[in-house]
Amino acid sequence: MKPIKIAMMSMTHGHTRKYYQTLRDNPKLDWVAVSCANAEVKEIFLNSVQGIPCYDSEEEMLTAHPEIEAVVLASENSDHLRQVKLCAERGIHILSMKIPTFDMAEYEEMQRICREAGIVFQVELELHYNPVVMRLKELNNQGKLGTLRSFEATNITLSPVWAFPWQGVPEKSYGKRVPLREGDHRFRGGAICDHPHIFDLIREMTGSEFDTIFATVAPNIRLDIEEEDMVAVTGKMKNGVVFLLDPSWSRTEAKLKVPAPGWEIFPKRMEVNIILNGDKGSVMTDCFGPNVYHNSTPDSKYVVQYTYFDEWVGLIDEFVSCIREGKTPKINLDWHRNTINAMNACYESIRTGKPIKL
Amino acid sequence: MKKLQEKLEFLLDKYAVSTKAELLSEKEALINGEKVRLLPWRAERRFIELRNLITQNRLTGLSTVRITHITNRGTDLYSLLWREAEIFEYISCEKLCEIFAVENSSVALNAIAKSENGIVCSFELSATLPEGQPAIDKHEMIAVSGNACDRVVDTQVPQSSIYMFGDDNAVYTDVDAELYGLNIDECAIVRHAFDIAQNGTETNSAAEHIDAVVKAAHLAVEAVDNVRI
Repeated sequence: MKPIKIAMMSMTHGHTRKYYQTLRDNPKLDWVAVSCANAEVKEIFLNSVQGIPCYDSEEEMLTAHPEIEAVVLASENSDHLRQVKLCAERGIHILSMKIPTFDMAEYEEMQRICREAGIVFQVELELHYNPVVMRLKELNNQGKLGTLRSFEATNITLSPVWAFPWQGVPEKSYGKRVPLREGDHRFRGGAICDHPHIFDLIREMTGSEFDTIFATVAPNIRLDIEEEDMVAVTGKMKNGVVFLLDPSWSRTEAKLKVPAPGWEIFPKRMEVNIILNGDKGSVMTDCFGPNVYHNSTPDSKYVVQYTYFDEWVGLIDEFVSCIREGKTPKINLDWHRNTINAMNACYESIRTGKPIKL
Repeated sequence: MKKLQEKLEFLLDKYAVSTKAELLSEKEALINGEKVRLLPWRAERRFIELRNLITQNRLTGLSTVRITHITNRGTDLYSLLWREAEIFEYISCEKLCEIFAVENSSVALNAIAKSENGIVCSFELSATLPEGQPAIDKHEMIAVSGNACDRVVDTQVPQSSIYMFGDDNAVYTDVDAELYGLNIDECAIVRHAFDIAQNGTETNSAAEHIDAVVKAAHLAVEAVDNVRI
C-alpha cells in the first residue's frame, strides 16, 4: 500500500506530541509537513522533532505540499470548522481532536462539508484502542455481569490550561463566552470540554443513548481560571442504565508551559476508571493501570509514573485503513454527534439546575 | 449483638462510666433508658482522620466529595445512601440541602447532592456482591489545598493489614486492641455507643436530617428532578 502523505496543523492541542512517534514509525504514513499556529508551539515542535518541514501558516503548507492527503487537526476547538473547510476544499482527509465543535449548527455544517467532499473524518477518541477498554468491552459483551444496571466512570486529569492556554479561554475551548449560570463568574469551556471519552464509551457499552442528564458544578479548586474545573454528572440511558460520570480537572498540577516530569502535584496526573454494575456482579477497571511509582527528580515528590499504552498506534491504523479502503471510522461525525449533544446537555443542566431530557 | 454488648460493658467498666448502655441493634441503643440512634462510622478511624483534615484546617477550600460503595445483593440502597450521606456530613462538616438521584432495579443508585455552601457530593452505590463478600468503598475529598482519600492512590479496592498465602489464603485487618477479635464494623458500633455513653454525644438531630435527605432522594427518583431537602 502506498504510504499516506500526512501533515499536522496548529500544534496547539495537548495531544500534539502523542503523534510524533506514530507518524514517524508507521510505515503506512509519510509525514510531510506541519503548520504551527504561533511561534511558541513552533519552537516546542522544532525542539522535539527534526527533519519535518514546519510552516507558519496552513495555506503556505498546503500550497507547498499539494501531495498532502490527510491532516491531523491538532488545534483548538474554535479553529476546527475553518480548518475542515480548508481541507475539504482540497479533498484532504481529517483526523480531528476530540471536540469538532460544540456549536451544533457548525457541527451540521462540518457533516455536510465532509459528506459533499467525500473525505474521511475521524474523531480522536483514543480509548477505543486501549487494551484495558477492549477487555472491558469484551467482558460486557459476553454478558458476564448479567443485565447491566449502572455505569460509573471518571475521566479526571490535571488542568491543561497552563501548558495549552487555549483550553482556559472560553471562546477557544467552548467556541463562545457563555456564563455557567446566572450570577456565576465562570464560563463554559473547562473540564467538561476536555473529557468526552466517558460520554462516548457509555453509549457503546450500554448500546443505548442518553435519556436524562443532570449535571452540577462544585466550587473550583483552581481560583485563577475562569472555567469550571469540578463537575459531577448523573442520569439515565434510554435502556434504564443509570450512570454517574466525573469529568473533572480534580488532579492538581504545576503551572508548566511544556508538560514534563514534575507536572503533577497530586501524585497521579490522570485517571479513567470505569465501574459496571450488573445483576450478577460488578467490574472495576483502571484503564491506565497498573503503573510504577517513584519519588525522584525533579521534586522528590511521590508520583505515579504511567506505563502508558500507545493508543495512537491503533487510532492511526484505523485512519489509514479508512482512507485506503474507503471505510467509515468508528468514531465519525455522525456517531459522535450524540456525545457532543450530551456534553452540551451538561452545560444546560448546570445553567438551569434541572435535569435535561434528551 | 450479645458479643458486642459484652465488649461495650467491658469498656464501661474499665473506664468507670456509670451510664447504662444497651445495644438494641446496629442502628440503635438505649442510653440511660433513652433510645438513641447510632452513627457507628463516626467511630471508624478513617472517617475521624478525614474529618480532622477539615476541622484542623489542613484540607481547605473543600469542593467535592466522591463516594463509591458496592455492597451485597439485596441490600436496601436507600439505607446505604443514609449511611453514606451521614458520612459526608460528618467528614465534611457540611449539611446537604439538595439532591438528584437515579435508580435501576434495586441494583444501582446514583446521586449528586449539594450542601448549603455549594459543596458537591456524588454517590455511586450498588448491591451486586454475593453474600459474605466484603464491601468495596471509597471516600475522596477534593479541595483547593489538596485531596484526601481513604484508599491508596492508583488502587481500586480496599487494602488489608495482613495477607496470608498458602493452602488457606486469608486477609486480616484488626483495628482495635481493646476490642481485639471484632471486625471493623463491630468495633465501630461498640466504640460509638461507648462514646455516647461516656460523653453524651447527641446523634438524633443529625439522624433526622439524614432521614430528610433520603426522603428527598426518593422524591428525586420519582419526580426525575433535583429536590430541595
